[in-house]
Amino acid sequence: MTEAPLLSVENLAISMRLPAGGHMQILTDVGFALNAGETLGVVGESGSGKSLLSLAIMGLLPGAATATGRIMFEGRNLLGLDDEALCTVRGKRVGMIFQEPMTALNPAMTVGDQIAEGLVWHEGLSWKVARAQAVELLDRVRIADAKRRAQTYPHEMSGGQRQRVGIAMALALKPALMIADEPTTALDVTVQAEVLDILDDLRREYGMALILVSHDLGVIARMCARTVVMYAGRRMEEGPTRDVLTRPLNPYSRGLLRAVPKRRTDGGRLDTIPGSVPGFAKLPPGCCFSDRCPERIADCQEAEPAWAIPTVGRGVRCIRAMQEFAR
Amino acid sequence: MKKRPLLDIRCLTRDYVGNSLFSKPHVNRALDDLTMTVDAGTIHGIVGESGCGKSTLARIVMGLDRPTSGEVIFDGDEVFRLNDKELKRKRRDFQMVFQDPFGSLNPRHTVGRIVAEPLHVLDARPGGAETRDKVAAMLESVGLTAAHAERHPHEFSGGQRQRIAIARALITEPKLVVADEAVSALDLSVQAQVLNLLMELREKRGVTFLFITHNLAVVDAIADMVGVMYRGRMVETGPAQEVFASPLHPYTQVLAAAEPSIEKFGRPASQPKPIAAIADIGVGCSFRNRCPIAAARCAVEQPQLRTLSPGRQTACHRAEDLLPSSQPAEALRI
Amino acid sequence: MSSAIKTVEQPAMRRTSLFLRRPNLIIGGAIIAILVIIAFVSLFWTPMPPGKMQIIHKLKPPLAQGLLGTDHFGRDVLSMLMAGAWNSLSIATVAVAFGASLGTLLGVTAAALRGVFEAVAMRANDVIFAFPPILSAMMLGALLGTGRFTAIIAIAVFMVPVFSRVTVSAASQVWARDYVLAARGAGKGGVLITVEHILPNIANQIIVQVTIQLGLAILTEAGLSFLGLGMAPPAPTWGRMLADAQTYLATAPWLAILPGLAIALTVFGFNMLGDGLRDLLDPREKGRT
Repeated sequence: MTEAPLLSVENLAISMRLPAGGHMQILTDVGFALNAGETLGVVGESGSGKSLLSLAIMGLLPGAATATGRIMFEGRNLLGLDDEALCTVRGKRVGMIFQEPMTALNPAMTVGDQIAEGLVWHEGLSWKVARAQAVELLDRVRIADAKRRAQTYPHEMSGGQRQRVGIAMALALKPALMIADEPTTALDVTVQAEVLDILDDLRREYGMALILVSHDLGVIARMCARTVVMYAGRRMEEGPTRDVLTRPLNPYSRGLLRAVPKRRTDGGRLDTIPGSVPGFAKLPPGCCFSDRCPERIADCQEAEPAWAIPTVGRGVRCIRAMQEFAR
Repeated sequence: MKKRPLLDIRCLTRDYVGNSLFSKPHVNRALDDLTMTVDAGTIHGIVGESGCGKSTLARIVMGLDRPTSGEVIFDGDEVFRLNDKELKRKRRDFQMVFQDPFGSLNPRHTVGRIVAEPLHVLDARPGGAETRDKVAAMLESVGLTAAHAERHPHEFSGGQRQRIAIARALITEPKLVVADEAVSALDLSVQAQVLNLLMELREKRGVTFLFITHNLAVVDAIADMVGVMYRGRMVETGPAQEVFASPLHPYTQVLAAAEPSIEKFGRPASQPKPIAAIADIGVGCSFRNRCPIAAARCAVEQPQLRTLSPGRQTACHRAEDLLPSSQPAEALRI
Repeated sequence: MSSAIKTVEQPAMRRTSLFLRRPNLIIGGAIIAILVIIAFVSLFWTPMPPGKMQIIHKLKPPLAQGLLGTDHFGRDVLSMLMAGAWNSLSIATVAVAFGASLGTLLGVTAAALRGVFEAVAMRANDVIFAFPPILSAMMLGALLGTGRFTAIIAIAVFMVPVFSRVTVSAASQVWARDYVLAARGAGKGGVLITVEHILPNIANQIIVQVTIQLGLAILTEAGLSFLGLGMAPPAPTWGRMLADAQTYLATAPWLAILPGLAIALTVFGFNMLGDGLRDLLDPREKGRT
């Protein structure tokens, strides 16, 4: 018997209320499923809506956002829960790691206390016990001299250490799902490698599912078994990471991969996607990528292509891609 | 006879002294005896992680910070021996592009005013009409339009703002442009566009770029020469392609192995050595506590930058062991 | 052609609807506007000359004699309040203008020069802060005698450190920005950078401080004249009206309530205006949306 997935996002659409009145549609027809222990990468550039997606799963949507569809997590629809119920989910069952290690930590609390706080609040532990567990967690994320370090403040630590503290905080309550939104973008390359290793080790050890949001395809390739590519708030392609990155079906994914900097032996220019990402108010008719797509045909601007499943485990939103597949 | 390099840096050292009430003044050596040259018409990459001193290097080359010792010879002139007036005049020949597209443009000014700002250094400052024309020409050469000159920075995207910053850097037709992490904050597709622009400027206008970044792939894609920095020292230099194909310094190897790429799926087989806390290393090579091939000599003698093969320099006692011919590939695995 | 007109109109329209969602700005703005109008009008017309004493009509309650009653000398309270508005607002405005200009100048210079100058300027600020304005007013009063001028100087002296402190902090943040570094790379010196880059980017914060300090200045002026240190009699000021009203609190409470209300309303108005301006100006100041 196949178990229900840990997280199932179905027909998610999010719009934002504008200050001047009216609505702007940000996410449209987003869906995917994640089983326990699996890793999913969400690839997108700025303006793809990927951060709003992670906020939605955490139940941290801003007040001006209206969401339709379902986010089924452990059998409950997160979108239908009130704030009190969400508090039991947030942090405890779903953990989040943010991009900026400095602003994600409270500068006025010691690092150990910040980790312990979650334990005291959610699991009712005493501060003494919680602090001891915090030291263990700091050790787990490979912070040297954990006992002494637990007494330090965030500003006394480097970026990589702070991010590791962020991971420890997210892990403290052993959540079933971890969402990491650009967790290593602000870090040096070697520090990034170490942080990703730690995240991977701990994920395996705790059996957590991981959603990694990033614009860095290399990081996604390293960490995630499956990938979904987003553009202008829509999913454009989904599948096993290796397939998506080596045999992309959607022209946007192909364009993105061509734009990855690499040496050209002919000394020529890098391939680029012409134009720039449109604002949500200025999407072209039909397919949202049609104004920049090198493989566009007339049909592409007629109507927005639906999400299609060419083979098991693969998804794509593109008329041309489906035509190719039919062949 | 080899042409004189455009930028010639010799034994550059920069110390920052932190004064504390309760202990001895603490000296932070941001640049340590750095020597390098940049030839005209090339894109010269500088790679390194935070704390390596690359931003300090950028500021000193731009004359925005004075070195503790050493020389910076730009186009034949020793920059820090010029008087204020001469330095100001010299500024037309070197300009800078910064990392943050949001912080590098004054939100209160129009784009036209921002782009025209460096014209201040010219002895014969152009009049209103001529300035407008120059600005328009500059905006067009970076892929924007003359009409954009009337707008304000907040109306533009990150990639467009970087183009504005590049237009500003080019308006005096400088010989050297220092790009400090100029594409790091940009999306992938935008980054590719801006990198292409830089390469075109090198070809069409012969602009020399000192391209500072932590991203090896970018340097590999566009740079002619590269210098690798670690803790204020230059540890390896050479043609970019060769340096990344066969690194001659263990730190370069560590960097290359650590950088994720779309060709490496899943967990890398080799585990990098955990990074120890940055402590005062004292004598000897500053990389030795992370170095997989550190030897006894590394603890007592600091390696100097030396030429290993034509065009390739490295600061490592054991660099010979890293030459591709001397060792089978497996032994190089870190 | 028509599309060009449309794009110009839209931002203005959007700003108007923004306005309606900023009650602080509207309320504060309205209160201050009304007070300013009253103050100006009082220069040309008041129901009665404010100094005119009519002893037979003394201590009459509001509506019995004149709209707001009379005081112990039979002077019309409404006229006195109107004239007092002019005095209070003019003194406060001049003092704040003076203090803000000097303070801002000191602040931007300190941020530009750093080092010894900044240290000395900040310590001088601390010294002035240590003196309560009333105390400095008393000392100045002993030196210069009472009057409008003394009141202005006393308040202005206290304004200088307030503005220089705000300015130094704001200006230092702007100095750290990359575009200032770019301006230095363009060969510009401290003065040019201060004028072209620093001042425009701290203007918003200074404007907000001005409105807040105006409220405080009104309060200080009232306090000074309450103590007899401000303008000399018979010039009507709200503070002295309060002082004179003390004796008659039981029999003629309106003599105390009305000037007290006037002071409170003015300070409230300035605070609301400052709040509203801060909301309006600051978020957009951030640059990125």
